[in-house]
Order: sequence, then structure tokens, then C-alpha cells
Amino acid sequence: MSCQERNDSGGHARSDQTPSKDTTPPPGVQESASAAQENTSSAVPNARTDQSWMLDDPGTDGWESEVLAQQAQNQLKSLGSLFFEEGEVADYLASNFTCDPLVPNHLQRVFEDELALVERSAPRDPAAPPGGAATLTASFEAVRAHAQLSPNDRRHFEFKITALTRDPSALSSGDFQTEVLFSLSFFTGKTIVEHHASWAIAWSGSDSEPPKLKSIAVKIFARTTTKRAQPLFSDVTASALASNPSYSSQLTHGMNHWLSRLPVRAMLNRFGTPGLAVGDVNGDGLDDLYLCQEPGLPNRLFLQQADGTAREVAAEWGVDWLEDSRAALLLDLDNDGDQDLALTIYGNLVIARNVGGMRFEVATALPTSSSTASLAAADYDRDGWLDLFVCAYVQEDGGSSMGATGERFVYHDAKNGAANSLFHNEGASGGKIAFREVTSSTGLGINNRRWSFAASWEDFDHDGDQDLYVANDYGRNNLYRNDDGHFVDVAAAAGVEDSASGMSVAWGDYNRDGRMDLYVSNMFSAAGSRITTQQQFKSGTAPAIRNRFLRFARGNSLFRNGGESFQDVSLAANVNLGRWAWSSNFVDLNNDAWLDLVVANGYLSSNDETGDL
Amino acid sequence: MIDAGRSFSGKERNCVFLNTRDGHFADLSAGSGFDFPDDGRAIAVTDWDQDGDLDLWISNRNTPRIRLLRNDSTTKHHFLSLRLSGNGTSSNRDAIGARVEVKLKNSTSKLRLVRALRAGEGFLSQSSKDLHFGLGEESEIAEILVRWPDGREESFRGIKADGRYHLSQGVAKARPLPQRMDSIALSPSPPAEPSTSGPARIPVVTLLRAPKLNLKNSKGSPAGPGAGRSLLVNLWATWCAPCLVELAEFRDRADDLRAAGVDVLALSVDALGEAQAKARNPSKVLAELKFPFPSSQATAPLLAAFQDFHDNLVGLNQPLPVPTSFLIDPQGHLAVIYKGPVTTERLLADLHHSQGTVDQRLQRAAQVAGSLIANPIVSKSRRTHEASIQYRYGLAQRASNDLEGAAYYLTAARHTDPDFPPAAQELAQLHLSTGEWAKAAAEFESYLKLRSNDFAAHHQLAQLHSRLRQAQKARTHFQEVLRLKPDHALAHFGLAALLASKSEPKEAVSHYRAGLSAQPGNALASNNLAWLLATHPSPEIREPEEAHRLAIALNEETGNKIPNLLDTLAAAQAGLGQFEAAAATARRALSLAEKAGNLQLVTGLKSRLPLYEKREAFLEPESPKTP
Repeated sequence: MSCQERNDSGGHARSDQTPSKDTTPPPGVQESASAAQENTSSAVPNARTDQSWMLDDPGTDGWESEVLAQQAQNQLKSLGSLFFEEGEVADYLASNFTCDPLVPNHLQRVFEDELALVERSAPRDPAAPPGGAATLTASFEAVRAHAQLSPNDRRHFEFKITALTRDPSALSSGDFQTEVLFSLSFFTGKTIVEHHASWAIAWSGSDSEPPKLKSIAVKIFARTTTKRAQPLFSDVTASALASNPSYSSQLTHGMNHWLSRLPVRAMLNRFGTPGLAVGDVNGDGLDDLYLCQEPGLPNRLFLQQADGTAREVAAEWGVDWLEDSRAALLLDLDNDGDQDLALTIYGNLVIARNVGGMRFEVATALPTSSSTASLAAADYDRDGWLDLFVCAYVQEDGGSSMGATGERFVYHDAKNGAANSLFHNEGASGGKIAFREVTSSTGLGINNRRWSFAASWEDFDHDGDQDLYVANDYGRNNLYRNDDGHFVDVAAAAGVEDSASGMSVAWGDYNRDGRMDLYVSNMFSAAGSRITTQQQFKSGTAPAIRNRFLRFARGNSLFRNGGESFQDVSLAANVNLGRWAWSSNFVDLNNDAWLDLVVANGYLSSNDETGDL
Repeated sequence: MIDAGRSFSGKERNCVFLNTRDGHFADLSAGSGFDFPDDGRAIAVTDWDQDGDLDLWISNRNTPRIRLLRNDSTTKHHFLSLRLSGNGTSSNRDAIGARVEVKLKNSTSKLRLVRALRAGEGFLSQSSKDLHFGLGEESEIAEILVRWPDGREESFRGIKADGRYHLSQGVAKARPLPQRMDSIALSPSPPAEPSTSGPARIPVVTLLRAPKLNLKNSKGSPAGPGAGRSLLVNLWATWCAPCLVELAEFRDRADDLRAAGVDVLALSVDALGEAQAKARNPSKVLAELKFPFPSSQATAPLLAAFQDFHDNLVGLNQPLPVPTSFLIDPQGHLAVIYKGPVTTERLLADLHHSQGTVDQRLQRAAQVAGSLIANPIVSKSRRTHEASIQYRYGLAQRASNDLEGAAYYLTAARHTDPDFPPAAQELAQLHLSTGEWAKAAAEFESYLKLRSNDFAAHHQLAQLHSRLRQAQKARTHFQEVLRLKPDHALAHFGLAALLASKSEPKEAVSHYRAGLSAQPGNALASNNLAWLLATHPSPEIREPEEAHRLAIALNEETGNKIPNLLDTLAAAQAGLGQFEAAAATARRALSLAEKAGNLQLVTGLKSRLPLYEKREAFLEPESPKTP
């Protein structure tokens, strides 16, 4: 039990006493003026969402290698503090420790402009003898010397152990090897420096103490150094939004705050679905913004003001909806020259007409699967009207979050999600906009129940019509080729099934050959990589299935468009480590005509960090 | 794990990958300043301030829910921004689907510069429709090639770098957009930290039945709220200062509370959890307060029950603080949860919460004021969604064998949305399992109005009607099953039995045969058919040869030891004039039936055996027996 104080600041003081589970019931009631209770009904209907699909906690699932990985991780975390703080390396090292310089001696300048310098290591000279503890110490000292001016929030390091192996002939020795992804960033006072490297570390293990490092081999190294003291982006959120009451009352609070006072009415409510749509709704030439919110929180419409700040007007525009909102588009659905609103909510696609650049008015609502997600528009049949594709995720009807009764959920190839829908715009007149569902009649009913999070239209084959890529969780994605208004899923033939945890789709010509390439968000998981590379992982299963699981942990995918089909260049291009990624976009950040990538990621954060992958 | 608010792949830093123009990318996550550890979700790209570089709106699951990140690029690179308008007839007005190529004047390389206009990409995101081109160090633009959504191509010239233009389909001249003149009032200003989570008032949407308190007063008689009264269950502790302030307010406003129909039950939690230094004897504290309402000590099971109710109604499952109060309405629903103190005024205003419609509860449960979408389809969706949640509670109760509770929630679901088929179906099954046949039949009827092609439900209802001796209704639904699924053997058999009992033996025989052709091994149906063919009073129906064949087969399969089947064989033998054999078979059947204690069969055989001994066949009376 904690105590909730009512204090001046309206704060919430908590004592740390919580009832333990084995509390002995108190003795019988003695108070004369009291009532006694007995046999309280404990029949609480439990209809909470099933989460049995969550990966097990790797530290407790009985994998011996995972215990070692955790020990190694702890050692690295502790060792890494020496990048920023004085300390002794010897405690971490086995005798005869060997080490490459953490920053290789011969770096190639591969990119330089006014924003940043990028250097990569040349292939390591196998003849060059490695150093020892002194080399490691010198590497730490070099960073410390440069990072002195880094405030705490501008210096970070991270290790991700992606593989752990043991030589079968040396099992008794306790020795093991790990592959480690390493990243480091700090501020020198003039520039921001980041190191990204792949290391092979050999460990000497023992039963009585933490494992010690026998060697560090730096396999790949890259360094990015900015040419400026300030980061490229400034966070200007407060100056843009703080004049709106909803900013402090609603938007500074995270979902954990809201979920301590709102019900979870659908599976995606816990994940958070704050969709964003940019468009100029009042025709003043400035982009405005619509923000979707979870059930019980109103959506927000921000009108950009002349000075770049945003005024929140959802209520006066009639769109401060409390519905469980997911994704929105601002676009001209009735071809009258202003921006209408399309919105996916739980169970419906809602269409609202822009009335005079002053407000929105609901024109129609269309039934969809319950668990809607992203929304994408295109005129797929080239009749001059924009059509809408609605993604849908889990089959929530019927009381099961794992799909309708009797349908099997297969983690690596799930086909029991909710059905996506395509709505054909039948044209508009007299303030009415009509849509007709055409999912099946256009061929999109095929392969259509794959837990879809996102979709995006693009003419990938350059034949003049819009094709559709759909990113699906738990398995294969779809590439629907548009053949005169009829769709054929050609994902496998085109090489873009990308069987993993698809979260988002972005199109862009990153290599400037005139063809639209494809970037798909997935989940990078170091734990997933470690476990799926173990011999015992699904040892009774066909290698093809094992590889499918391994592929799941690899992260984001970049597919280079070769015309008819695509080539997976994710690893070579070095864009897979997007972590637990959601939105990804191609953006030319430095106006050099080459598209860069931004990735939003992170699943569920709280102060308890015990479940990280 | 998620219920309890634990981190899971959380605090991951957002990424930026810089295109190094050689097919590779370099990590610029830290250098870009984009590496927030937020749970990032959507990204919308726009040159918000129109200064020639791309800014980002990003939304998050956690705090802050949204950030505006201004691109502070200071490069000498040039840019171009294009706003497109389709003709509004063959191309959509927004020109979504257009592809634009910028041809640079001095460029000799094969590198192309192509962008396309899309609406919807990333995750839950839409970026600006202004197409943005970084031009690098090139500032001379030769031409702009637009392929409009209808496939027509158009070239635009006379466009200068570092400008913003509007290109309209069919108007080959680009129109420069006005330069933005106002000064921009955006400045580096990280989002405010959220204020700490204070007391929470949680009006619930889904009405759950509160735990039964089974209160007794000191003399052992039932206590607690009377009919038509609400109850505020207040969890408090003697060491909790705000609790004492709150209890004093309840005391001071006791008359108002009682007049409004609400009683308070103060349950101290002092005896639960770790001992507190400041803890005292709860009854003494209440006596000193002159607390005028009933009180008791919370037991661990009761506290666990309230915690469970909270956890079901609230997304994040954390231990309840003290004080916490639960407002229970006169019908026994848990209506409002207050984590932290509640004022009397607030409480009085909330007394009607549970009496409202689903829409009213949804609106009141909102934690920030807003509106519901006024549209009949959406409104219907809201009711269906709520019904599906009540339905899930019904299933959960059924799974824990609380059939009464299951019926309660399923009925509530039916009431919330009369057109929600699963609730009607489940309720019908529930009534069926408790033997409430008339109710079950009514629910099946409702369900089948919504899902008229569910042949299994038609079959269940037909069987139910047969059982209730509503032959006409049973017949209708058996026929509906066979219309939907012509080879449904059990429906054929059920209908055959019904028809046989209704003196329609010809149709009965034909359904038995149809059923047996779909399911040849059905011994019961085979036996019924054999009996009918052996013993029917009408010679037009009787076919003792076939009856005999069927009966022989049945008895061979079962080793000649099932008295019912032997009885049929005896009747068939008698029908063929094999009276000695019939009598012998009947005697064997009789002895087996006596051993098995099957009195009805014994009686029947004792009446038939003398006939066979008299060399007479047995025929059913004109209205044949129901098998």
C-alpha cells in the first residue's frame, strides 16, 4: 500500500510499502461499530489480452549460453564506463589479453560534407601484431580526453551481443566467444563523434567469478564526426506547442500515465498508436498537423501559425474525437481543392469533409476489421479519385487476441490476422463522398490476413500505375502489383517477402538510379540473434525454419529496386540495426540530393528495464 | 509483463542513417540529435518552417507524446520545393501518385533525382505533400519533368533553385509561391517534463459486478447498503494522513451523502502489508474521528479482489495506493474508482455515472475532454465494441464455471448491442447447458436472425424444438440445416424421426436413407429405419427384407448382444414369416434386456414374444412409436 498525499503541487507521494502476496489475513473484526466481511467474491472476470506470444525472458529460459551472455553483457557495461571515467582495466582482463586498437590506425575517409565526416576502417592487416592491455587503456584514454566536455546526456555507449559460441572441444575450460556490436557517442566541445563497430571478443569463463576478456578483435569500424557543435536537429517542441492547454494536460504525459487511468479496450492500446498526418487544412500555404490518440484521449489538430508555432483547434474543427484512433490522412477526397480527413479508428474508416477551411464534417464511415492500423491513399484505377487502403492487425473478434477460434497462430508465418480493406472512391457530389469496398474484387483478398501494420503505394515497376507494399508482423510481406486495377501478390518473385516483424514501409530512390527502392522496418533483436544461432534452438526443425527465425532478429531491410525485382542490400548498406523499429522514412536531411533514413524505435519503456532485447 | 508496466526493448535510441553516396550509410544517430530514447512511433516529414530543409514531427508512446525537430542544417546545398495540383478530373487534385524528376543543368552524371508524391507511409504516418528536393551544390535547374497520376507527362522550365513553386497540371508554367515573411518563433525548447501523476478518478466504461462483500454487523446480521443505495468502499490506513482528512470529510458530509443515497464503508488495510511505524488501532482512530459509517478491516482476499477489478478496468496494473475508493452503484456495479482522495462533491456528481448509456460512459471516462464521432455507423461500432468486451467477460466467467456470472455478462452484451451474434450464440449454449431450454431456444432464434446460415445452430435449435415437442419448429430448422448442408446426416435422422412420429413414414424413410448414405455407419439410425420397415402398419411402407438385411448387419457388427438390435431383428424375422427364429431372437433379447435392467424394453419384448410364438408379426399401432 502506498499513501497518496494531497500536497500543494498536486503531487503524488508514494511510500514503498506494497502488500506482499503471502500476507496473513488479519484476525477477526473486533470493532464494535464495525461490519465484518467474509467469503468475499474473488470471481473477477479476467478478459485481459493474451500475451502468451511474448518472447521468454532470455535470462531465465534455461539457455546456458544466455546466462553467459548476460554475464558478458554486465562485464562490458562495466568496462565501457571507462570511456568516460577513470578506472583500471586489469580486473576485466584474462592473462595474455590481446587487443586491437579500438579505433583502427588506418581509416578511410568515405564521405565528407559540411555536416559530417565519415571514416571507415580499411581491412585489418593480418600481419599486424595485436596489442595488449596497454592498447585498450590507450583507447579509453583517447576517448576520455576528447569527451571531457560531454554532458551526461550527450555521451553514450552500448554493447549488443549478437552471437555466443563455445568450442565443443573446450567446454570444460569455460571459454567462449562473442560477437558484439559496439556503439559510442560523445561531444568534444566542437563536434559530435560516434563510433560504430563490430568486435569479436574471446572470454575466459569460470564458475566462481565473472568472465574475463581474452581478446578483442575489431572487425568493422566506422566513425562519424560532425562539423558542428550542435546536433542537426533542434527540439523546438515546447516553443511550438506550449501555448496550448492540451500540451501540458495531455501531450507531456506518456501512455503509462494514461493507462493507469484508462482501460485497455483493444490489443494495440498498450503499444500506443499516435498516428501523424501533415497537410494544409486551412489553405494558408502552411502545413498543419493532425495527431491521433488512443481511446479516452482526444485527437488533436494543430494549425500552423505565421510564426511557425501551432494552435490546437480540434474541438472547434469538430475532430477532437475520443475514439480509439490509429492513422489519419489529410488529402482531397472530393477533388474540391481542400484537404479532407480520412481516419482509421477501431472498427471503422471515417471520412470527414473539409468545410470551407473552417471545420470538418463527417461525410461517411465505413466498417473495417476492428484492429485497424496504417492508412494509404492512391488512385489505383486512375479514375481521378483517391482510393484508400486500410491495414488491419489482430483478429480481435471472438474474444481471442491470437486469432479467431480454430485458426493456428504461426509466429514465423501467421495468416490469421485481421483482413485489410481497399475502398474505391465512387466520386463526390453535393457534399457527399461515397466509397465502396473492393478488396476481393480487385484481388487484394489474397494473402490478406497477415497482421498488417503499414502499407504504402508506389509504382515500383514504372508502368504508370500504383502498386502496393504491405508490411506484416509475424511473417511475409506483400507486394501487390497493379495490373490494370487488378492486384497480384508478387512479393516472393520480386524478392521482397522480407519475412520478419514488418512495422512500416518507405519508398525512395536512395541510389539515384531512377527506381524506387524499399525500406521496411522490423525488430532488431540481439537476444533473438544469439538464441537462434544456438545449436539447440529448434534443433528438431528443418534448417529453413531455423533460418526464418534467425531472419526475424536481423532488423530493418533495404531492398534495391532492379526494375522487375529487388535485391536485399540491408547488411551491405549498414541499415539493419534500427532496433525495435516502427516508422522509418527516407529523408534528405542535408539537401545533398541523396536520401538518408530516419527510424523511430523502442517498444515499451518504463523505469524498470529488465525486459530488453 | 506489459500489464505491469515493465520495460521491454525500451529506451532504445532512434536512428539516423546518413547516405554516404556509395551504396552505404553511416550512423548519424547521435550527430543528428535524433537519438531520443523515446518509444518512437510515427514520423511526419515536412519543411514546417519553409526554410529549405526538412523538419520532423515524431510521436511517441511515452512522454513526450510528440516532438517537433527543426532541421538546423547550415550547408550551402541548394533545395527546391514543389507543390503539385492535378487537374481534378483525370488526376486527383492532390496529384498523389505523381512522379517528379529534376534535371540539373550542369550535371553530366547518370545520377537521377526523382521523388514521388505519396499519402501514407512509414507507420501511421503521412508526410507533407510539398515535394522536397535537395540539390547538392547544383543551383541550375534545366527542367522539371512531371508524370501526373493519369500518366500524362509535362515539362516545367524557368524554375530556380532555393525556391518554392506550385505546379498545376496542364499549366506548363510554374508559379512561384510567396516567400514566407514572418519571423519564426521556434527555438530550442525541449518538451516540458510531465507533472507527476496525481490522484486519478476513473469512471469505468464496462460495468463489472463488484465483489460480494457479505457484510455482517456485530450481531451477525447482514449489513451493508440497502436497496436503491450506492456504496463507497474506501481503503484507508491509519498511517496515511490524506486518508484521515478524507474520512473526516465523509464524516462532516455524512448527512448529504446519506440523503443522496450513498453509504461509506471504510476498510482499513493496516493489517495487510508491512507494519508501519505510524500505524495505530483502526477502530480507535475511527472512534476518535467519530466516523459515522460502517467500517472493517480489509482481508487479503478482499483486497486482492478489488485489485483484480482495478487491473481489469485499468490498463496499467500497479498496486492500489491508499486511499483508494470504489463507488458501487445500487445494482452492484463497480462504477468509479478513485485512486487518491475524492471530494464529496465529486462523489455526489458521480452517483449517476453507471446509469448512463455506453456513449455517456465513454465520454465521462475520457481523461481529457473530447467528443464522440456523431455518425450512426461509428455509433453502432461503439456499441458492438462494448458488447464484445462484455462478451469476453462472459466467456471468462464461463471458463471459471460461474454460469450465473456468464449469463449476466452475456445478457448485458445482448442488451448493449442486440445485433452482436456471438453473445446470443454463447447465451443460447449457456442456457442449453443449464437445461433452460425455452430460453435457449429464444436465444438461438435471435442468433439465427443475425447469422441465418449457421447450419450447426439451426441443427441445435431443431434438436431443442424436438425435445420441447415443438414439431413444426423443429421441422423448419431441420429443413434449414439440409438446405444449407444437404448431406448433414444427423439432420436427416432427426427429421426422419420427427416425420415418423408425425405419420409421414414415406418421408421419414427417405430421410433415413439419405442420412445413411452420408453416414452409413450410424447404428441408431440404421436400427430406427429397420424397425420402421419391419413394423410399420402400412404395407406400402413395410419392407421386411430390407429391415432384415439391416438388422442382420447391425447385429453382426455388434456381436449379437445388443437387446435393442436383437428386438429389431426379431421383428424383421417375424415380418418375413421366420417365426421360430423371431421367437428365439426375442428370447435372447429379453434375457439380455433383463440382465441390463432395461425395463421398457423388457415390457415391449414380453408383449411381442407371445405374438411370434403364435406365428404373428408385430406391427406398430397406426400412430407409430417415436424411436
